[in-house]
Parts: sequence; structure tokens; C-alpha cells
Amino acid sequence: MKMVYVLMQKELKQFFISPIAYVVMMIYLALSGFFFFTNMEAFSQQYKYLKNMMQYLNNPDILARLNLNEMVIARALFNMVFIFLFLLPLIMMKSFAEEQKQKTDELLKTSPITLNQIIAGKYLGSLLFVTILILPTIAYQALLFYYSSPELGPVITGYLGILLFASIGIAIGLFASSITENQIIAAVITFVILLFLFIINLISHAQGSILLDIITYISVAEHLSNMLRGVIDTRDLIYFLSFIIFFLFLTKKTMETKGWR
Amino acid sequence: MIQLHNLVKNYGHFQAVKGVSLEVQKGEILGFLGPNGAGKTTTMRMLTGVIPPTSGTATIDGFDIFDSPLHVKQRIGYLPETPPLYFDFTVKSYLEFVMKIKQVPNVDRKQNLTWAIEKCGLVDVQKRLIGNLSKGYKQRVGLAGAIINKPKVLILDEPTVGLDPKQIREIRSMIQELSQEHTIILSTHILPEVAMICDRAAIIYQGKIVMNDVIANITKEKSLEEVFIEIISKEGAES
Ligand SMILES: Nc1ncnc2c1ncn2[C@@H]1O[C@H](COP(=O)(O)OP(=O)(O)OP(=O)(O)O)[C@@H](O)[C@H]1O
Ligand SMILES: [Mg+2]
Repeated sequence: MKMVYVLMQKELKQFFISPIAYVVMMIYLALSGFFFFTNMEAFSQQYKYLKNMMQYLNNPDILARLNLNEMVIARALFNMVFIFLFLLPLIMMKSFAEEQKQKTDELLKTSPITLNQIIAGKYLGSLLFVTILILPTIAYQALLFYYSSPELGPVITGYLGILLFASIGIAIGLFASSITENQIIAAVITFVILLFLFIINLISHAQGSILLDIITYISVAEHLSNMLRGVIDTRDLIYFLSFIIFFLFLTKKTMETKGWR
Repeated sequence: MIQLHNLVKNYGHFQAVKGVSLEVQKGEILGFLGPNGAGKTTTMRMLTGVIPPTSGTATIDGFDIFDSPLHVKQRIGYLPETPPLYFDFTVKSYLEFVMKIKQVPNVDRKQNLTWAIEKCGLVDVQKRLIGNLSKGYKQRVGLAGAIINKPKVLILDEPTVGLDPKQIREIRSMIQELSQEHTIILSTHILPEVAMICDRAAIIYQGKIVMNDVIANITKEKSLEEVFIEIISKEGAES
């Protein structure tokens, strides 16, 4: 456990030493802020429009159809996931690839630590970095809570969903960076796998039968949408966990074929 | 202290190391010699657990590299051919990280750090980023990382490469000093260096050990360099 902590600390430190970390943070905050406020803007436009309608039609039910949670928060959170689709490959591309390129893997391999500890350290360090990355966006939500009264539940499950999506991305990133010492290739592999999980449900409407079930199951968007709407289903949690474990397992196997123990 | 039993390494169809057996006693310094591509680095990598051997095994301090890798790794310090450095760390923070993963006890850390930094002539650069150091200084940092846990066994792949003459001298005397308590294997192309500091020399050629004897025996009649060249050209003519 102590070694995992040491390795995690080193990983986190390497993120923050590099100026790229701050660029990534700026991009993330700017983009998520941009999406947040455009959703907000769209909402208030609709609000104004419906308010006029209500006075005109004298029907008070119309306004109740507007849901701040669904129209602003769920969309903004989904957009945050979308940003990660592009940023996670960049965040993760160094990981094991750089270690192999700079030959620092020889230091890790000849130190009294196990492969499991190394993978856990890298995984947790990256997860912590991503958590730190999304923390400031809570300020956007706080703004909403200050001016209005949305439901808290979907916000919390939504953030959990983002973290779980990031967790899959990190596991994929570790795997990709373990098979190559070329950072660009690692980033491309991570992006392609993530994108695949992200868009596979788009083709599902054309299909039928068992294939459809499988595709729906693999699709990360399907599982995320529950969480962004405030529903936590154990099946979704199992989905995320099994993908994380699957890619960590692949990472371990790849490393073992390269002589890591 | 160190035993290699018939280590073999295949890269595809190419056999880089063809059954190397060696033994190094406690407190001995073994000079591991051989022309470029002979298999020195490959052998050292197998011994330290960087790459798995195709067949054969090795023990360090009685521990098998397969059965008890962690015990072995607690006992070794390894300087690879390319020093394994994190360029975005300072010298000091790098060495502190190395001590942590090598599990140097908390109470010893300060002392070991000061000792390694002094021994490798890093006092003036300890706060600088490793990436900005010259090649020789990077080599010194790698060396400091290898000795910082005061390991029982030191495995050094061309430790003096890239160093200036003064530093070479200091490192040599450091290696000799360390050999009182440590067992050392070092590879080098500087033959006088071997004659000066090693007790024993093993020459590897095309993946095979072609000579293994104490220095005094080897250099009875000829210089080490003459012996080396002779063996290499003789073996080369045979194969
Ligand atoms: N990963 C690899 N894949 C294929 N062949 C390799 C690999 N690593 C080493 N070799 C080959 O194994 C042989 C031994 O290489 P090694 O690095 O052990 O030599 P060396 O004795 O250390 O040489 P030098 O004095 O140049 O450092 C060489 O022919 C080399 O090309
Ligand atoms: Mg070599």
C-alpha cells in the first residue's frame, strides 16, 4: 500500500510539473464553462419564450415542463464527458510510453516493487489528476444552486458518471501506452477505443435482435445517460467496473510479455 | 554472492546470449568485458530482472531471480546502459524518489542522500533539473541512484562512460571502496580500468564466455589489452 502511495504521488507530481497539465486544465475549464453557459443561455431563452406563451395562453403548466436539471445540468455534464473524449488521450499518452522511451522502466523493474503496485500507482495518480481537473467546475453548478433550486441528486450521480467515464479512459490510456513507446500512437489508440465506446450506440438503431442488446450494452453513452439523469443502476456500475478491470488486466498482460513482473 | 547458470537470451532467431555461467564471490569486483554487441548489457538485464531469460537462471545472495524477485531487487543497485532518469525532476527529488521505491528506511534517507550526492560529485547541481544537466552529470545521477540504497550487489553497465578524467578517478576509487562490503559487476571498454580496480575479468564474445580468470593470472605475461585482442581475433577466426 505504501509503495502504491509513493508511485501515485510520483505520477501526480509528474502531471503537475509539466506545463501541459496547466494547459489541459485551462482548456477543460474554458470548454466546460463555455458549454455550461451556452446551455444556460438556451434555457433562459426558452424560459422567456414559454413565459410569454403562458401569459398569452393563460396556461401555467407550460413552465413546469422546463427542467433545469435536464436542460442545463445533464447537458453540461454530458458535454464535460465529451471534452474528456478528446482530453483523456492527451492526459494519458505519456504514462508507460514515456517510461519505456526514457528507459526509466529499468529503474522501476529493478526496484523491489510489483507490477500490480506500479499499475495501481499510475492508475490512481491519473484518476486523482482528473478529479482535480473537474473539481473547479463545481463552481458552475454552485452558481445554479445560488440562483435557482435544481435537484442535487442528478448532479452528484452525474459527477460520479463523469469520473467513471474518466476511469475507463484512464484504464484504456494505460493499456495503450503500455503497448508502444510512441506517445502519439498511444493517444490515437486511446482515442479510437474511447470513441468506439462512445458512438457505437448510434448504429444500433439500424439493427435488431441480440446484436442490438450487445451494442447497447457496450455503449458507454447508454450507461452514462442513466447517471446523468440521476439514476444509479448497479448494472451501470458493473459495466464501468468491468471495463476498468478488463483494460487494467490487458495492461498487466502486455507488461508481462515485456518482462515486467 | 552472484551466480549465473546457463543464461540464454533469444531475440527471435538471433541468440544474443548463449548460455552464460558465472560466479562472483562476496566482495569481489568482476570486470565484464567484450566487444560491442557481445551480450554484456543483455546479460546484465537478465540478471537484474529487466528482461526475462529465454532459459537458465541466476541467484543473488542465495535468492533466485524467478522465485524471489523482490528479495533480489532489495539487494541490487543497477546502473543501466542509459541512466533511467526523470528529466523533469530535480537531482535531489529524483534521488529521494529512488530511495522511496528502493525502500531505504526513513531514518537512513538523509544520510544516504548526502553520501550519494557527495560521492558522485553532485553537490552543486542537486537542485537543478536533470533534463538540463550535461551528459556526464546525468551519468553521475544514474550512478548515485544505483548506489543510494547501499545494495549488497552493484551491477554497473559502463559506469564511467561520459565522465571527465577527474570524475572517472573518483568513481573508480569509490567503486573500490564500495567493494569492501559490496559485490560488484561492471562492464567497460576501458581495459586499464579493469586492470586497476577489478579482481577478476570475464570476457564475453558473441554471447559466450570465452575467458574468466583473476586479473593476476590473465596479466602474468601480457597486458589485458593484448589478451583481449588475441582472444577476440582467435575466436572470430574459428567461427
Ligand atoms: N531488443 C533486442 N532485440 C533484438 N536484438 C537485440 C535486442 N537487444 C539486444 N539485441 C542484440 O543482442 C546483441 C547483444 O547486445 P548487447 O546490448 O547485450 O551488447 P553489449 O555487449 O552490451 O554491447 P555494447 O558494448 O555495444 O554495449 C546485439 O547483437 C544486439 O543487437
Ligand atoms: Mg552494452
